[in-house]
Amino acid sequence: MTRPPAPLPNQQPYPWLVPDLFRWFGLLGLSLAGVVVAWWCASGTASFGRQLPWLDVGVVAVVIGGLGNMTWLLQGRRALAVRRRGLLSALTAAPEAMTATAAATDTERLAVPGTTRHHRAGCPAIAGKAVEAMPATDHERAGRRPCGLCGG
Amino acid sequence: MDLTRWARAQWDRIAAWLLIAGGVVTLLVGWWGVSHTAYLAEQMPYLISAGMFGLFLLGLGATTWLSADLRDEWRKLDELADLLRSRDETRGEALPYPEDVAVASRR
Repeated sequence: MTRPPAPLPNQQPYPWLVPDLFRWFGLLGLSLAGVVVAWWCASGTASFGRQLPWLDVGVVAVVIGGLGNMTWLLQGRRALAVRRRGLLSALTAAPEAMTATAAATDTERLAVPGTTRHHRAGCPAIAGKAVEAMPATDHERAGRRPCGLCGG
Repeated sequence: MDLTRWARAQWDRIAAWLLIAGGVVTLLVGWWGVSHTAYLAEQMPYLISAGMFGLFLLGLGATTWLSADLRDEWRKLDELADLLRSRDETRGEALPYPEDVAVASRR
């Protein structure tokens, strides 16, 4: 499976997207506002009975902030896991492609034009000479035989 | 090591430590305020403002710190992806990168 090199994709620099950031900030803002409102209302009265509901509001506000933090971290971990899986599958696909490439080049043989033998790459008989490469079958059709040194 | 460069690269960890330190200081201020009055109605505002806000800052600091770890891991994956891509481009072929599809699908 080959295709021309693809341009580098415009990758995001962080595991989060802008909507994730807005959601996190929104929940943090809500939490902060809840704490401020709870404090404001609780400090405006000297009755403990009237302060108690505002204590609950404060606790709920902190929990909302915690949920915001949790979703932010979970989103980041999820994005990392998706990307890690993608890269791992690309890595496992790579050896197959390498084998295919090696097999393709393995069928290629080299020959000096005008001679009657074809050689494997690296054969000392053709060292430093201008050679042409083509599949072994094409060399055979052209009347060439395998080199006795490298086995062609 | 250049301190400015380090601070620029580790801004989120510095922010995390500042938030955590702020949270601890806020909790201490709340404790100080509560311990200086015997009236429950006077202690409650300290509990809600300093106590809750201190917890809020501690949570935010911890989240920022963990975010920095996630960002570091993301950068490592960037390097790995670039390495794979450049190797394939050298070979004149490009393998499909499901990670690009995965990233694009989140847009």
